[in-house]
This record gives sequence, structure tokens and C-alpha cells, in this order.
Amino acid sequence: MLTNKNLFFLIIQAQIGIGILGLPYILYNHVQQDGWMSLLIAGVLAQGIIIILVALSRSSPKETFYELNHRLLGNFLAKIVNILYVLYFISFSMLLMILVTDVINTWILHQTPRWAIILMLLIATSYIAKEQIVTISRAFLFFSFLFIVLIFLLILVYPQDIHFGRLQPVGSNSFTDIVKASPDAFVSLIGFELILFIMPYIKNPKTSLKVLSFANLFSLTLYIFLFITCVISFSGVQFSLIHEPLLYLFRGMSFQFVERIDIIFLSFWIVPISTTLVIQLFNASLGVQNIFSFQRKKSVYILAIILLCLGLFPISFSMKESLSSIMIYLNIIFVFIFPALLLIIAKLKGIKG
Amino acid sequence: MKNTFQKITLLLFVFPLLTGCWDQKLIVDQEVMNGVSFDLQDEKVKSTIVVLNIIPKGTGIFDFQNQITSATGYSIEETYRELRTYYTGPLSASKSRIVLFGESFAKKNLNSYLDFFYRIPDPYLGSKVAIVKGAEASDIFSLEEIGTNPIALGLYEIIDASESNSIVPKGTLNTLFTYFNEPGKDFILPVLEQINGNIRVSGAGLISNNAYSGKMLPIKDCPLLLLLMDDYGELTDLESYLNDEKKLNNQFSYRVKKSKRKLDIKKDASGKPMVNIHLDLKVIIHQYPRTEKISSKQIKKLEETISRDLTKRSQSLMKKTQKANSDVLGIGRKIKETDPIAWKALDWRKTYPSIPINTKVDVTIEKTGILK
Repeated sequence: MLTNKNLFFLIIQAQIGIGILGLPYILYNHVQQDGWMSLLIAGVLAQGIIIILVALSRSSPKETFYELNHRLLGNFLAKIVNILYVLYFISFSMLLMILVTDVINTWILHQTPRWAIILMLLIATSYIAKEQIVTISRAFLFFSFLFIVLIFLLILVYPQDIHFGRLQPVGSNSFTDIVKASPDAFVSLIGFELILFIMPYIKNPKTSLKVLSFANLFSLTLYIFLFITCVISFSGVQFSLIHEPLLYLFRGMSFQFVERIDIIFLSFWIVPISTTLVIQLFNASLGVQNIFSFQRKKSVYILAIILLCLGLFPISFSMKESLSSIMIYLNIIFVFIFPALLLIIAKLKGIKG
Repeated sequence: MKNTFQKITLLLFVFPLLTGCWDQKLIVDQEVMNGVSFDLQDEKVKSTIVVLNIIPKGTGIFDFQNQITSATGYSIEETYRELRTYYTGPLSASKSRIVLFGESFAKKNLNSYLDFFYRIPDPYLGSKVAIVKGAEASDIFSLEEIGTNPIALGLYEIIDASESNSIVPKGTLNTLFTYFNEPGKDFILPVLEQINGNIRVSGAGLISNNAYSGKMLPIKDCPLLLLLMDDYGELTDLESYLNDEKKLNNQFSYRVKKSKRKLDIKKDASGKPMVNIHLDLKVIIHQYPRTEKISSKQIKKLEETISRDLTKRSQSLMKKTQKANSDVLGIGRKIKETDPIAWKALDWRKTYPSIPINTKVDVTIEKTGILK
């Protein structure tokens, strides 16, 4: 059974991943130094969604989301919805893999073909994802020391050449612009939808809302801290040139004995990135298990093979761009709108936990 | 049994992947450039690189040898391609320590040339950058060594030392990338000079609009400029003349312990910015022309002398930066941040040389060393 601690680390590992590398760049190009406001708005939005998700999963704490669908929507409709969800998780994983291979190819392994990186990634992630959720959460707990490393490295930026004035002028963008940029920030906070699928495994379902809110707060604070650190370190035009500000931040750092922290950091950061993939695989495999009544272990392997095949397709730059922009909307539909509808249905049907 | 077999096949399958077959870069194959210099020659770029070869000589003793090569071309990429052919392995800039510019090259728009370093992830951005005065930058490398250090490492150390001595602010290729793209802020680079076979940092070159303005500040003014920039190093020493008399053994020096800078920007009636800089220094008397007790009355007098001297000097320093059109204090940046509307209306390159900048330095002597 998942304790509060396990749940907390599961959620932050699911939330924080690849997005952290490029998030400051995306936000800065929309609303410059006011990006932290967009982040705050996205955080509030995420908090609202967490409340909805927790309410929904608490309406029947012994069932996963897929099983709940069957009860609320009837078998036929539920099957369609479940298939859609599995497809959503597959495409999310797909985008994740494309982004990871992209970053690794440009920063560390220039010659290594895409399929090799994807294969390595899938072997590692499916190895963890096939286990029980408790085992996964323990592994994640161990991986979480990397967040401490990240925070430590970010603090090390401060004695360097920084200028706090770059945060000014505050609020130079209109409020609508700031709100418009928040979906981009919201994507990086995705991951808490996991609660829908692990409710039956939680020890104290009553405290889950509190734990989730803390996890969300943690991720949000980390993102805001990162964003501010990036803004005070980079000048405006420079910011618009750098795709992965976090890595570039570390690229400029040098110490007596360690150089090229960016590459060392990225090599280790693969772990939090793959944990996000693990969660997606876990969610999807539960769905496959529900739809086709396979064993869950087997469905993880099937999904991994499907993802590997998808990863072999050549992906052009424009396809990647459009996939990421579609994903923003899909996230909102599948994580927010649909669960909200379901909650309304649940309330109308008068199901109580 | 079946399980073990499965595990072994999986391991056999995974191990070859772990070695990273595609991206092996063996250090023995690599030729690592330690120093790079760029000069301008007949409207072409002349790049010179130093590759350090370490020759082991028995137990723990090493000898080194620099291999220096040059190439000219219309772009840095072109010269790089030519330079590659001199070496036995792939050239890598992942460990370069120093980047030097000849004076004429530095007067070009450096930003557009250095793109080479920023666009690909391999080059090392912690390298120090300097301008070479009076000779071609490549000549410096022919010195082979500084003290016991190989030339490129020695130059790095020299610049590093001048950073802690508050001659120039801390700067690397990475900070340059930031300043290149920062409107309303210029920067300074160390200027190296070769004197009788030795190399020294002879001052701070003022950069204007990403190019060397050709104007250099002598070392005795540099710490004060760094204090005005609020970007000083660990050891900030200055000196003044007793009673303002310029004669033998009449100087006393002091070390700045704490500095507080206030930069005020006001607008006059026509919207032109007026700048007031107030510097509040806490100093320790470091050296005095006579070994005698400095009375508290004398200390008051010294404080006044220093304040007057530094106010005068900082005033002329600011004039010099205005003449070079090099806004090293980032006054434009401050306007941009605090008053974005006014900033848009200004043509900063034209405005900066003519704005009034008033400086005022106040000094408190905290200690007189270990002697009274």
C-alpha cells in the first residue's frame, strides 16, 4: 500500500521530467520576465484539477479510473473512452520519447541513432513499469535525490554573473498574454492524473488531496525557482536563442575540478525523464489490461513494443512541433475536461464512496 | 533454468548497447586545443590554435610540447577546417582555456564571429577571453610557456589573477554570450601586452556595441571602475597621494573591504537621463609612506583626501567610458528595466556619450592594518 511519502514522490516524479529543460525558454518567448505569473496561474489551474480528480477517484476508492468508467458510462461507451485514454498515454509517451532523443542527440550522443536511444529508454522504463505500484514508488523515492542535486546546482548559479534587474519591469505584458502562456506551463505540471489509477492502492485515501497539493506546490516552486534563475542569468536576446536554458545555465558553470556540468547533469536527468515515461506506461498498461484483459506485465511489454515501432518512424521537425502543440490541447481534454464531466455524471448518479 | 537463460540472453543483448558504439571519443585520438586566437589579416580571419601534447617521462614526470598552427580564411569555420588537417586526430575545443583577439579583430562585431562557440554543444564556455595589444594575438602563443605553465594555461592563470585583483570583472566566453545580447550594457575585456618576453595584463579594454572601442583603461584605474560597476574581485587595492602631492614616497594605499553603490537616474526637463552615482567605501589602510602612528585626526584627513581623490578620478573615468561610448555600468539597462517607455524613446548609442554623470565617493577608514 502506498503511504503518503510514496504518493508524494510518485506524483513529483510524474510531473517533473523533460519539460523542465525547455520550460523557461517557452515561457520567456511568450511573456518574457513575467513567465512566473503564467506558472502561478497554471499552478492554480492544476490545483483546481487535482481537487476534481481526487473527488472523482474518491467517489469509488476501490476502483481504478478504467473500472469506474464502466460503472458510470456503461460497457460500450466505457470501452471507447478507455481506448482513447490508452491512445492518449501512448501519444504522450511518444512525444516524450521524441523530445528525449532530440535532446540527447543534440547534446551528448551525436552519432547514436534514434532507435538505440529509444530502445534503451524503453528497456529501462518497462523494467520498472511492469512492477507493482509500490515497487515503482520505492524506486522513485530513491531517484528523487536528483531533485536535490538540481536544486543545489541552481543555487550554485547565484554566485555567478547574475543580474536581478532582469526580472523588471514586472507585469509589462497584458494579463491576457500571461493567461495565454499558462497552458504551456501547465503541460509541465501534468502527471497528477496518476491519482485516478492508483486510488485503490493508497493507504489513506483521505489525505491524498493534501499530499497531491503538496506535490503540486513542490513542482510549481521548483519551476518558478528555475525560471527566475534563468531570467536573471540570461539576457533577453540570448534567451530567445537557447532551447534548453537549464542545460545552458550549467554549460557556463565551471569549477576547479568539474567542468561541463550540463552534460553530466543531462546524463543523470534521463532518470527523472524516464520516470515520467514509467508513469505513462503504467497508466496505459492498466488500460490495456482492462480492455483486453491481459496480464499487466504483458501489456507493459506490448506497449513498449508499440512505442518502439512508433519510434522507428522518421519524425520531421515540423511534425514534432505540431505534435507538441496538439498535445497541449489533448492534455487539457483528457486530464481536465473529461474527468470533470465524469465527476458531474457521478454526482448525478449519486455514487458515494 | 529457463529463467536464467532468459536473463543471460537479455544481458548479452544489453551489454553491447551500454558501450555506446556510435559516440566513442577516445581521449588518445583527440587533439584537444588549449588556446585559440583570432587576428585580422587582409580582411581575412587568421586563426591560430595551440594543441598541448603531454609527454610522460617516467614516474610522474611530464614534459609538454605545444603544437601551434595557423590558417586564414573568410570565416572561422573555414580556418577550422584547414586547421584540422594539421592534426592526427579530430580537433576538439572542449578544453580550450583561452581565446585571444588581435586588436584589429576585436574591433569587428565579435558577436557574429563567436557564434561558432555557442551553436554546438562541444566547445567549452569557461575559457577566458582577452585582447592582445601591440602585436598579433598569435605571437603570444609562440612564447610557449609562462613560468612553468604551458602558454594557454599560463594565460588563463594570468587573467584569473587579474580578476581577483579587480583589474577586470570575472568573464568567460559564457558571460560574453550574455553581454553580447544585452541592450544597454557593455563590458570590458582584459588587454594583454607582451613586454620584454613577458606577458602582462596591461589594462581593461572598453567594449562598445560588441566591438573593441580601441580605448583602454590603465590598471591603476581599473579597481575604481569595477567598484563603480559593483562587480569587484576579492582584492581591491587603490592608492592616493598624501596632500595631493605627486612626489616620491608620498602615496598611501588602501584595500576596499566593503563597497556600496547607489545608482540614481533622473530625467531632466527634456527627458534626457541624468545619472548620480554614490559610492560608499569601507577601507583598510594598507600601506603608509611613514611607519608612524596615524592619529585619529590624521585619519579624518586621510578619509577626506581619499574621498576627494576618488571622486575626481571616478568623474574622469566615467568621461572616458562616455568617450569610448561604452556603457559598462549598464545605465541603459537600468533605464530599460525601470522606465521601459523612456528607453524606447532613446537611441542609447547616441545618448550615452552626452548624458551628465555625477559621481561621489565617500570613504570610511575602518582599520589601519595591525599598526596603529
